[in-house]
Amino acid sequence: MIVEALFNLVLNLLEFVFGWVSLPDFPDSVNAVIDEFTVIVCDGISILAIFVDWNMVIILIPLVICVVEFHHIWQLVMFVLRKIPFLHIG
Amino acid sequence: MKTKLKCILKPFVAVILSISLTFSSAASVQVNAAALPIVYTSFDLWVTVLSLLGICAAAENLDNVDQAVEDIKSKFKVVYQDNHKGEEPDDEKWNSFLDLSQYVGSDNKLRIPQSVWEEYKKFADAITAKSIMTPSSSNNIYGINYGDYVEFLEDFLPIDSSHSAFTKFADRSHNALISSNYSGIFVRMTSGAAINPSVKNFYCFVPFSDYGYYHWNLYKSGVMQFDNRGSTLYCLSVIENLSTGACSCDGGFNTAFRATYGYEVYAFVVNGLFYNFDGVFQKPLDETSGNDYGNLVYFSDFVAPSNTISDALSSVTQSAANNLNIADVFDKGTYEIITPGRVYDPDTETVTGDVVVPLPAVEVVEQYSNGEISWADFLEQLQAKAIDTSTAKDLNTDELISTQKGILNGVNNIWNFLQSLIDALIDMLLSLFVPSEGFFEDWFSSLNDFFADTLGFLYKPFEVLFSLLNAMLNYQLTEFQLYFPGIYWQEYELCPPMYVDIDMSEEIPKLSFYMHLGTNLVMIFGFLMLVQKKYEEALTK
Repeated sequence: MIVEALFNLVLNLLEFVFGWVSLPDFPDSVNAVIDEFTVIVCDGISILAIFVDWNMVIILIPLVICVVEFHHIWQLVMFVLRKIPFLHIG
Repeated sequence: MKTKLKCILKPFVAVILSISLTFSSAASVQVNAAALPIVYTSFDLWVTVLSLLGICAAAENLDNVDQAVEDIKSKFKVVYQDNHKGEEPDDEKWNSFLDLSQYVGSDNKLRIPQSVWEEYKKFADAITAKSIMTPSSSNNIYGINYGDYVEFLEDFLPIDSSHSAFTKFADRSHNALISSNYSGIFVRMTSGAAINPSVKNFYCFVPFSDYGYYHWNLYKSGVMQFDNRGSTLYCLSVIENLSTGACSCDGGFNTAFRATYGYEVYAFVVNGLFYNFDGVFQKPLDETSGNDYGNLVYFSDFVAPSNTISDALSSVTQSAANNLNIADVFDKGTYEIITPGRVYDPDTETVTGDVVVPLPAVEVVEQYSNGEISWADFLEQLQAKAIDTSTAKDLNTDELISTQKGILNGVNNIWNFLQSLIDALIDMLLSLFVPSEGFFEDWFSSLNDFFADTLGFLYKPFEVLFSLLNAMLNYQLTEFQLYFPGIYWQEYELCPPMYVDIDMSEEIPKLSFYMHLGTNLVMIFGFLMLVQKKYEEALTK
């Protein structure tokens, strides 16, 4: 209940902040081309699945992100830890 | 997530409640043990409990008929599995034993088809090997009365082209008398005997056979067992109280049983006198009227009687029985009279034991099978159980059972209440911190819709990205179609759109397996190299 309330609060906040924005969409002709391109690429992904195990890719992607951005993640963790007084992390 | 947390929390709760339940159960068991100084003190606790239930089932009102049935079913199952390579007897098989009414014909006679004799035999063996049955003597518990289970004789060759049969008599108390209603291959038991177990003189009636072997356990009368064709008949304490001219088992006449012609009588007890002889009961003269049962009893050695004793067994008085000059009747038979207080063991043909005690109406379940115990020991155990049972009855078993039931119900109620309370608490805590199922899907969907509406064309790249990710997540390596759009220039079609089907059913999956293996190795190796590089960066910078 608490977690749900927090997430709903975030959603409502976003709606409140960006609610007034109303940018137009692409023209239909452009959208059609993009959609067709998307379909072709998705088919390509299926072809690639013959050679690449997407399940492994899906597993590795978050790990790679964590490793590549390790520095920032480290900073974030330390930022939180430094907020805890009795740990005395300078 | 919610389910997992529940799984984690529940064992702790269950342990606590189990401990409390164990104490409660122990308390109730103490009541049981203290209340029933019956036999089986060396048995495990559960056996004691079962014994209690067995006694209850054996009580006249059969309060625990269901338990008795379950008990028998379990025994039947053991024997059935022994004979069927461990196969479980299905419900249909079992129910066929319970429902003897299917074999009751329009003439109100029970006919067991030969095709099912074998199965009934196994059941009867189970009963005989494991227990002594004690159905109700008064309740209409058709299908549970073990006397309903009739095992008949494939090898039964009637001496005079007849089969033994159980003929219905007008007087219900005379039902299930062995009469001489012969017809073909079927052996009959009256529907009265089959359906209405109130025939007290056949309190427990378990006929079974390989060679015409029957085992009767008579209500308030003891054990009668007689075999045909060279086997034996044991009739213990059946004809007691001859001084009144009545059999104590049903209050009727002491001719409550009768063997068909050709049955060899081995031993007989009359009012404490144990008569042992060879002889033959003659079939009744009138096999249909049922009024002449026991009017003639012939004793001889497989010889059609030429002489009869003047008194019908029904009219044999104490005096007549005691003065029965067997030697006069059984010219060819061997006989032995055992004085009261001694028991004749037909297996060893020796006189053993101490006291022949009339057996009571209630008997408890036996624990041994054929061959495990001698006849004398068997009798002793029966007598011991009789005494124990009467002791148990003195302790007001019914009251104790109701008390025990009350305790168990109380424990069950407490258990159910605690279980529901803890479940409710766990659910409440989980609902506080764990989002409900599908919440995040809905949340992301709402967010996606919101940004698509507000950001318009700026959000299009994200939509494409999400489409690609979905394609990656949901790809299927089965079969798919490639689409090549057509190429047009002005009004001319340079290349029409094309679809290329790729069949993934045969060779490609094998190829794909090795390709995946190779690419996975490359990716994992690359990932490890990346980790090493980052590790070095972290150490140096």
